[in-house]
Amino acid sequence: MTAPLLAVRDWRVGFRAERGVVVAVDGVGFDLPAGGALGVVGESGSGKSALAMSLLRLLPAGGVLLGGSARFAGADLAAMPDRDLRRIRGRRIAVVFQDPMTSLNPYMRVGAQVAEPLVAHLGMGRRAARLRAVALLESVGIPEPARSAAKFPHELSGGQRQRAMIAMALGCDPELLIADEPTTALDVTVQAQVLALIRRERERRGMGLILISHNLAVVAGMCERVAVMYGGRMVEVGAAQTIFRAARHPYTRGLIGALPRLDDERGRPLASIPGNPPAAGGDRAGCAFAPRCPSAQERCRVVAPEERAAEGTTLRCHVDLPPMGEGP
Amino acid sequence: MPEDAGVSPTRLAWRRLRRSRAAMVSLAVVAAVSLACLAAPLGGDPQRQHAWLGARGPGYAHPDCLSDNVFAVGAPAETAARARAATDLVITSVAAGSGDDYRVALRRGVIRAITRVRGGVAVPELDLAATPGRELLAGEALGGERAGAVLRVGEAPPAGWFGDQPVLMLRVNAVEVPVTHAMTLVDGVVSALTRDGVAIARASIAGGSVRQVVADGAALTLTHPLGTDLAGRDVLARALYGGRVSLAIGLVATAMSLLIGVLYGAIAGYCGSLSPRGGRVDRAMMGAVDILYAVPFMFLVIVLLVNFGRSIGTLFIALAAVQWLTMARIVRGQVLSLATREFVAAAKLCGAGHASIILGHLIPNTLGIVVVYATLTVPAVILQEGFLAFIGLSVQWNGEALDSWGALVKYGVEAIGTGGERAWLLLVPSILMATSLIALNVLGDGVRDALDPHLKGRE
Repeated sequence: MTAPLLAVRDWRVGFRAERGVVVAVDGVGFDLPAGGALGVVGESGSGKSALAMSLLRLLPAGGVLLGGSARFAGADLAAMPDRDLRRIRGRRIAVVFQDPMTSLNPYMRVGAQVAEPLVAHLGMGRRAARLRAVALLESVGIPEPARSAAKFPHELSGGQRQRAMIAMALGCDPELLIADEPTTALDVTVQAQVLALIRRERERRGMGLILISHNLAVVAGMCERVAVMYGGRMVEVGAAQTIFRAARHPYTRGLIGALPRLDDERGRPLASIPGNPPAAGGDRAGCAFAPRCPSAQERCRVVAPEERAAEGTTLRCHVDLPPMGEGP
Repeated sequence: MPEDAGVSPTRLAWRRLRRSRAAMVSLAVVAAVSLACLAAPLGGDPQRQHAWLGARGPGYAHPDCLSDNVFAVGAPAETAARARAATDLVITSVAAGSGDDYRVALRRGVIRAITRVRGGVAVPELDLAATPGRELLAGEALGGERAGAVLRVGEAPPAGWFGDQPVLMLRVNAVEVPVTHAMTLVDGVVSALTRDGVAIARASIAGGSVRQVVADGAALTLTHPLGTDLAGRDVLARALYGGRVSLAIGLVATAMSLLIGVLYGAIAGYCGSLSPRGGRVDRAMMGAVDILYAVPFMFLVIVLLVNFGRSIGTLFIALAAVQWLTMARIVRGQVLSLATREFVAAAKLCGAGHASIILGHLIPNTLGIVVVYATLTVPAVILQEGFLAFIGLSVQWNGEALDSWGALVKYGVEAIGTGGERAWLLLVPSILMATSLIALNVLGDGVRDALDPHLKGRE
């Protein structure tokens, strides 16, 4: 087996708070083969965005890398000097951000922004970069690309801006694309278009993808593998099909059960997981999900579950649930 | 959304600004004042004194000549440039002679004798009405003036002239005798000079005695639309030159505060957004700002001006040293909030270094608020300089006083007179300064509204 494109081990990220450091990502590890796609699912505060941003050391103020390694094509992203990292960021690993409203500089023309990484990373001349930027905008489906390149971000719609962000990310033919909730700020029809665009470009270029989302259905449709995060940990990792059909973790099952279905009886209350996600930095004894878990046992509240392999998925749970559909 | 492609946020703000009538009127006022001040050298020399004029009200006109005009055949004419450019120059002045004293003796209600004191010459009559320009001053015992009468030996004097005294001393001022100097000039050099038709070699004409200057057949008259001050200097020219000084101080001090404040604030804010270590840099930098804030500003400026001389450079440094603090705070706050926006992370992804993120992405996005604050800083600085000038710390340039609006207001306050009879000396610089400051402030508000329409109507 060839070496994975990205191998993350025991990745830990925290945020400085008034007292000490709040752990947001607590010992996450995964492998991503070249061209593979990993979906990361979780609620707000589960640490999925912190994971994505910390891989390229783009954490906001107060965010700190507490430990772990992330070997990208053999080199550790956590340990390399800024200068080397700058050559990887945007060139070999690209990022699409959540909010297209804030991810483009309002005072720069769209074309110039798309051209910027081409000039910086590929050493293209300004004029060549501009032409390439127009071609990129066209390839991501922006109408009248030459005219749009001359526009400022506020003159584009949300979907067009996200397409422009994708064009910017794809400009340098990255080996890995990290998409941090790329469709959250968009309405549903545009979401579908943008996701289709990401999938198409991924297949065309054979690039790896880490897709962060709170939407399990989106992730399952886009990625071969899915990781479910809760309380800063990956509680279950497995093939998308397996996760969807035969989830082992009670939290994953709760997420799947909470998906509304068209054939649901009208008037039936929407299923939800009772309780709230744990406050970051709270008591860490036991399983983070235990207070909300319908199957929690005594030891769940005392001992944090270790990672274990179980029938196609890797999970952190003490409980062996019966196959889905026979549930408790 | 507008139809045409590529409308930058700056352009949109400009469009909104143009829709604000108050802002456009203010812009017009600011532009008009600035242009007038720029064109001030065309309007006359603010330092040119006509000492003999004294303070004259608005609209005063006088023959254009200097206080001392020396003409000698073969020498350049010492006179106004416009007169020097003529080839044929005629100056009419009046000869200032000394007055004569007369002794009038009375006996039994009838004038017995009239004697001119100088030379002891007896004259038969003294006609005070027939000689215009004559002034009859009575003796001290009576006081007051007596004019318009004829005193003859053997006749009775007008009633009440003598009271109960037998002798009256009268002083009669000399007649103003017109004297005409005519000369021919070649390239400003006097080639021929006559006095009342008689050729002479040299003439000195006091400016105060000049009644008319005719150059090449046209009378040279200098009008002072806004009057003159106590030294006979043109008030309008001085007000416009004062505007140059005030506006220059406002603009330069603002530009310096922009340069320092924006860079300093952006660096501090960017460091603060980076990492805990950068946060320490940020805190240290802003701590320094806080300490400087605590120094009483006027005290600092006054100490600097007193110790390092009242040169305009010192003033620029003193004012900018204070103004940049607020700018740095504003920009730092703005950068801190901008740095969390994802386009900064996107810029890092583009391989941008710290400098290019600060200069290329962060600072351009702060320019809106920077422009607003700068527009409001210009009038604030002008006002501060005005205050300094008013308390006597007006600036100098190469040892010469630069009279800003503040200095002119101070002069006006001192020269206005107890009854306000020279009010224009105070009103002209005050109104000009107030109008400009109001216009700049309204313009600043308009720019703020244009850049951030959500803020409109809020303070």
